Amino acid sequence: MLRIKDLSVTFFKGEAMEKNVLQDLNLEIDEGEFLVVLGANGSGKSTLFNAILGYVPYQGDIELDGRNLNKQKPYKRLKDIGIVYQDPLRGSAPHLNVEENLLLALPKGRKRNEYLAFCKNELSSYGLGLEDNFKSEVHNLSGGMRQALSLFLATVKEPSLLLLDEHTAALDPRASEVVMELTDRIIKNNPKMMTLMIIHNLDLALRYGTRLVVFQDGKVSLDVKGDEKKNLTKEGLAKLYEAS
Amino acid sequence: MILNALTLGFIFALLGFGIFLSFKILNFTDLTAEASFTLGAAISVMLVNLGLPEVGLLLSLFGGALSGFITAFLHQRLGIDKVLSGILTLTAFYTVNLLVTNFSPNFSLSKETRTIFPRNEDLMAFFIAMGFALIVGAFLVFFFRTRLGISIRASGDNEGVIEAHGKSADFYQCFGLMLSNALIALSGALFMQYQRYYDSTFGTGMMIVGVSCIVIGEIFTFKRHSLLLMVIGIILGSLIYRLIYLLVITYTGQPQYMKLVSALAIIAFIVISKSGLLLRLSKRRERHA
Repeated sequence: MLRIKDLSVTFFKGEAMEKNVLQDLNLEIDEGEFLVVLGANGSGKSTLFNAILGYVPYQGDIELDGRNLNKQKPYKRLKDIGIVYQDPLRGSAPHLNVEENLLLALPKGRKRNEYLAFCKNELSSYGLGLEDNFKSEVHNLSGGMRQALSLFLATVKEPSLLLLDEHTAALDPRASEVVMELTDRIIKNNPKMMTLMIIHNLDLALRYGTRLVVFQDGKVSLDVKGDEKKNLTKEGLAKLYEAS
Repeated sequence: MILNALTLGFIFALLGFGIFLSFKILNFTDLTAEASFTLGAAISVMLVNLGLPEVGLLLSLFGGALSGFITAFLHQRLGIDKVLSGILTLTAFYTVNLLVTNFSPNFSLSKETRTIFPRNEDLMAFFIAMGFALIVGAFLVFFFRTRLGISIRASGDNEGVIEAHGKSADFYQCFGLMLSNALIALSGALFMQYQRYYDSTFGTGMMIVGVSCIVIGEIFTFKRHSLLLMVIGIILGSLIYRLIYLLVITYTGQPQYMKLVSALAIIAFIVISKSGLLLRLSKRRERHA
């Protein structure tokens, strides 16, 4: 479970001005939940991710599977958290080839060849041709392939939490659809993994999320799940979104 | 004279490897190089005077690694800018290098003093220097394909991706800087033993020598990111640089011209590299074949 308690993040602009990006935010996410985070630019969505990863100073508590993350450095938090960013080149080392990027995630004690064969098998099931491009540098791949690789790298360690920060926003509609379907498949294959996804597309939010949360001015203004979410239409969500 | 230039070319290839590692692989503008080159020479001359030239080479590696570690510490732990961290280490090590040599700014080795390069055997010295460059080059090609080596390369390419795999990017950057300065110090140690004298100003201008090797070498990599091509390119770049140096000395009799020639050579090779001239020629040759 991810438990966020009284989380506040303040950015200082000059000496006197300050902005509360997140204010006393409380949020609990259960095992296997796919939470979609919606909200206007500047509402605090990405700041929430940065706080979870320890990239911004914050007040309050963040607990993952009963462990308090407050004093952990970002790289230690990332042992149990996978992240995919909007920029497809952020999730990998662009001037290293696909195979070398995969080896960065080689689990300790696992044999190199056996692990690469496993990766090849998994990636071939993506249907994007990544398995035939092991020797290609990542910056030479298409946006969809790069993002599929980022997804694989973020989830191959079987994290308990997956963060998706507008990970389809920089892709064309077709690639975006493919990556989103792939994301859904990966999530279904990891039933215990919690997922937080920032997205602006209400269609995708409704189709894939098991719970929807709308952020406004650093606070949760709407939280829809269960039957309420199942009966929600795009128009209904748009109205709630605007009213929140 | 050509043999002498080529021997020095192989010795300076190690300097090129070190600077390539920090500047190109780690994306860290590390100015420690000039201090670690002199430190390697200083450690080496003291051990050579004790009759232990091989130990001198080994300890120079550790000395260089220490200077790299200090630069990494200043940057990562104290939050000092990369360039300034290198400058501070460079400044501090000027005194450290004098301490190593008991405040003697220069030494000349006596005829009886043994170094790893046999006296008056230029061909043997050439093969020894070539052996060092090829062995270290082969080691780097192998090393950068290991898990640790890949992680070091990734830390310079995208720091975030290293952390995303639950690893400390600082660790790999620090390790890379230690390795880089260890190679530079080894180059300084070999240079001292080959020249058979030591001077506390050995390191001055070494940065530009290393950068020259890389820039000249880059035109042989045909803009590919192949490790093997890069290593070969640096060795060739270093050899060409020393041959240019030899030409300048031969025709002007003034080593002082070398700074101007270095700058002009770097500009010329950058222009050639950017124009992709060699790449086009190579493709044309492939088509004809």
